[in-house]
Amino acid sequence: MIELAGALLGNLAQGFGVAMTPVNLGLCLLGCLLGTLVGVLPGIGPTATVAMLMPITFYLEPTGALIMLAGVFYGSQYGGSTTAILVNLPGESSSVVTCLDGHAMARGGRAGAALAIAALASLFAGTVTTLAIAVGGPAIASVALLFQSPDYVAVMVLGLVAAIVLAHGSLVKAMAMIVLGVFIGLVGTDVTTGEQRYTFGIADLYDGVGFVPVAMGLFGLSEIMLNLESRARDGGLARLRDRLWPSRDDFRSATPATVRGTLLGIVLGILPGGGSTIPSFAAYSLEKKLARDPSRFGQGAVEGVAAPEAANNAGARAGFIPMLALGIPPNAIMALLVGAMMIHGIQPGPQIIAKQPELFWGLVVSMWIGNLMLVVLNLPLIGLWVRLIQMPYRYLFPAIIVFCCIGVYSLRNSMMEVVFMAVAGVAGYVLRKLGCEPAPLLLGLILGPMLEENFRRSLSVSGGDYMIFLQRPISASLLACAVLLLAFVLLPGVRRQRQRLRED
Amino acid sequence: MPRWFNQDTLAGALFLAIGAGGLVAGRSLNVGTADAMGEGYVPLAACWLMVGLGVLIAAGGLRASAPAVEPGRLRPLLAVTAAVLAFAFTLEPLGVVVAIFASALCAARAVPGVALRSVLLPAIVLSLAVLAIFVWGLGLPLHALPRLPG
Amino acid sequence: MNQRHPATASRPVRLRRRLLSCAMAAVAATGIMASGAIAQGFPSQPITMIVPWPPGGGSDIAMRLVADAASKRMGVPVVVVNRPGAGGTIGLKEMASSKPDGHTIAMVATGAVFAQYNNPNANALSDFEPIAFFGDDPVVLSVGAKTSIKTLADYLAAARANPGKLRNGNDQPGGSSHVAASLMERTLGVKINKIAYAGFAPTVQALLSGEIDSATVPAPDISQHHQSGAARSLAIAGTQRHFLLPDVPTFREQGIDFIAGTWRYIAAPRGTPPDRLAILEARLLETMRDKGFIEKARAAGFIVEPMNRADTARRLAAEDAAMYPVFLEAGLVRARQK
Repeated sequence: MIELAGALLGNLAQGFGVAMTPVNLGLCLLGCLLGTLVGVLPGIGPTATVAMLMPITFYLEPTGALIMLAGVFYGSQYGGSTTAILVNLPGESSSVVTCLDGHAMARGGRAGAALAIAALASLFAGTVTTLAIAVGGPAIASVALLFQSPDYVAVMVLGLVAAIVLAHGSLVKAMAMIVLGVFIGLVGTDVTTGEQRYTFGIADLYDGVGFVPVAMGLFGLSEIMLNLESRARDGGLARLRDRLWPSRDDFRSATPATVRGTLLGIVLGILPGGGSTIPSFAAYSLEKKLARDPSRFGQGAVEGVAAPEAANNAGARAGFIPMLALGIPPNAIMALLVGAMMIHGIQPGPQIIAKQPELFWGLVVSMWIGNLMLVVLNLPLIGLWVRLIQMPYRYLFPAIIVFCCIGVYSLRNSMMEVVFMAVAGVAGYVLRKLGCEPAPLLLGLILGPMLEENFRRSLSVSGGDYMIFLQRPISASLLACAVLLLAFVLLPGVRRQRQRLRED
Repeated sequence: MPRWFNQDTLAGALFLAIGAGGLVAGRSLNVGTADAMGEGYVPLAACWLMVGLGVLIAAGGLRASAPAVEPGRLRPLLAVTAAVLAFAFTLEPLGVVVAIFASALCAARAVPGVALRSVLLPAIVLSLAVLAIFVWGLGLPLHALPRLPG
Repeated sequence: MNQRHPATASRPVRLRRRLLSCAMAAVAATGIMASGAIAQGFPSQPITMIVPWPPGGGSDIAMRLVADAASKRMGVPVVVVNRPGAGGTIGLKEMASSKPDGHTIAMVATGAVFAQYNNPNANALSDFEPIAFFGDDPVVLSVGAKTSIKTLADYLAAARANPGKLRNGNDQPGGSSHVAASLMERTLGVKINKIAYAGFAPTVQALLSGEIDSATVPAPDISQHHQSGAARSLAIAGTQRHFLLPDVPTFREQGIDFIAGTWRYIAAPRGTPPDRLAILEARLLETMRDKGFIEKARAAGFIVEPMNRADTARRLAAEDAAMYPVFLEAGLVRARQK
């Protein structure tokens, strides 16, 4: 034990030695700044930014290059939450959930509190996850190798069931929205057969419907339409209530939620495909289930901001574990970082820790330093952000529309993506008028293609035998969890009984 | 407004229509078997599910307590959509500055009684900001002004 | 204008270059140099290189390396624009329909051979003028460490003993890895169960977890796992051994004539004037034959084997002839026939 701790300290010391050099500190700061900037701009995600910055890293030494690119990555995630809270625009999948209660808090005049809680929850999650990587690293990574297709199916089913819990309106409508999301996600070229599905000859649909245009339309544009028809247009989005900072009560409810979110984030973030999206949805659902009064969720519950923010940060960082230790990038952004490493002749994989200890530990430590920098940079900015949304709305909304358009266009440099966003905006308006919440649809959209692919592969491997989902211990136990959760949500008897238990 | 005209019946009908539409549009897709699923297996299953859930939701709309549809206004819906489409269709041929002005002019129609003057200044500021951030700063491959033929 | 550029392009400060190219675009747009510049020489303005794949993938990295190095030799910036979508056809369509003045070029990869037969919206290969060949990214046949297969001979024996039972991980039908697996079946005379994964990372993951028995993926994706012993690479489908896997023999060394994988070349729209094609060809070949460039590309895992226009065209014809029967057999030929 002592030996282990000693080794850990030695490793971390080596990491600090690398990360704290003036050049690397500067690169980390630069990355975080750039990341925050692009994160705040809706639509320009970390993937595009990292890609654009890649050529600069030709001229940097590899550790510094990776530190900067990693800084862009978590900086943009951080900035993404800011836009989600202020104007209800989820720039990436992991901030969808933050919109729900974060924006509700902002509308209620507590934008400052929401931003601060998000920042501190992220910092906590980042710290814990960094430590977890340092201690567990390679050992944790091998967990991902236990997972085969049926197990992924089970993880995703569990995620989708969790999305039903997330709804604060009708459960049946939430289910229908998930199925609709899955269906939209299946549009495009089928991975297994190479056939086109529902593309109607439109080439821009061959690769499927992108997440960002749909998310920005469903959330952002429909929000603008509803705002314009309901509120006094000359005022700002929200007036500031008494205080900028979170209250003591806020902290009291946010702390346990942050801890739970962090743990969920680490566990789910290691799995390929998981990234930071499933953790944030799962953490939100968990908090809502645990809450004494679930009806607060969606109306500006502090836990509803703290838990998913902690989870998506933990998940995003935990994604580094399989990338560094197995050389298997769990999501697109990690694939980009692998690309950046390869440009410098570094092959990520099992040998990286032994062969390039300074790179591995330097990156681990700089992740934590970057996190700290982000909080230090952003806390003073909160006042500015809050003032921004007090601007007269008739000046603010055309700017939001233009930023959305440019962001969506830049994803594939394609105007059709912008058109898709407009369609999603109208759809979001109609659906919201009919009492259907957009969040479950988005989760379905993300998970649909992965679910189908793994589902078909499982059955093709098993020769069409559905029992494969019950024969594998991992998938069987995850599916059992999903069924239990579904029973809790759907059976009114159980629900009522549970409420009675609470009241006793 | 008749009583059946409420959020649930309409939402149910919508899902029913999407599901049915998906079944019709996907009728040529190959379903395959469980061990070698065709491209239509999962999407068509999703469509049937939507049909079923649509019926269930619509049935819920027959309750007396079903929530009514809040009346909407067409103007913001059309103006915001037009602003996005205007941007989409002017950006490539005419450049980002024209696209911003086109979009801002459409967006201004969302709010009745806005003078042209009060659109121009914000549009200029916005154009400069966009040029500075996206074109010069981030180096996105956008062109600022219309491309001349030749 | 021409004199100002070499200085800026050689500086590694990309932002500056962007500012300049932007200013140039603005100048060009106002028509000041509308006709004069072309007379002065080629290239007269920044060259757009369309990469029809998303940022960060192998093609993007390869072309960013080329663009960065070529900017110095062209005298104007070569700007990479990612236009992913529909298996690369959207970006290529844009290149093919752009003005054929040599200022718009694009990377074309293996998938374009498939797209022209399968996708009615795709361009035919004849819509592109080849400029220069970049190199091959051959697939490697690898098996999981848990299998008892140790050599290519073992693999052949296992595949013959259980026709259609060995599970091979690859990409979707029409993708380079799937085509390679299909070609391998034909060459070896075996039948395997081709399981599609969306990308090479999940394929390798499945190989390590034991869900599949073998995989056909490019060398950079598997080399680490071969070295660590988590997977065994049996043979590589290239003309020579790969520097990342020096101990893995080629199929040819083992008596089987089988070459497959991804290859990439750079092309311009049909109708580009031959003198401009020649300039682009000369500059790109200089770039790709540069020692420093080859070193850099090698470090990133790429084999650079530049070829001139004529050789590239010959190679394309041969690839086309080899692949067509595979698509035909798989029932994927539906846009145009040969």
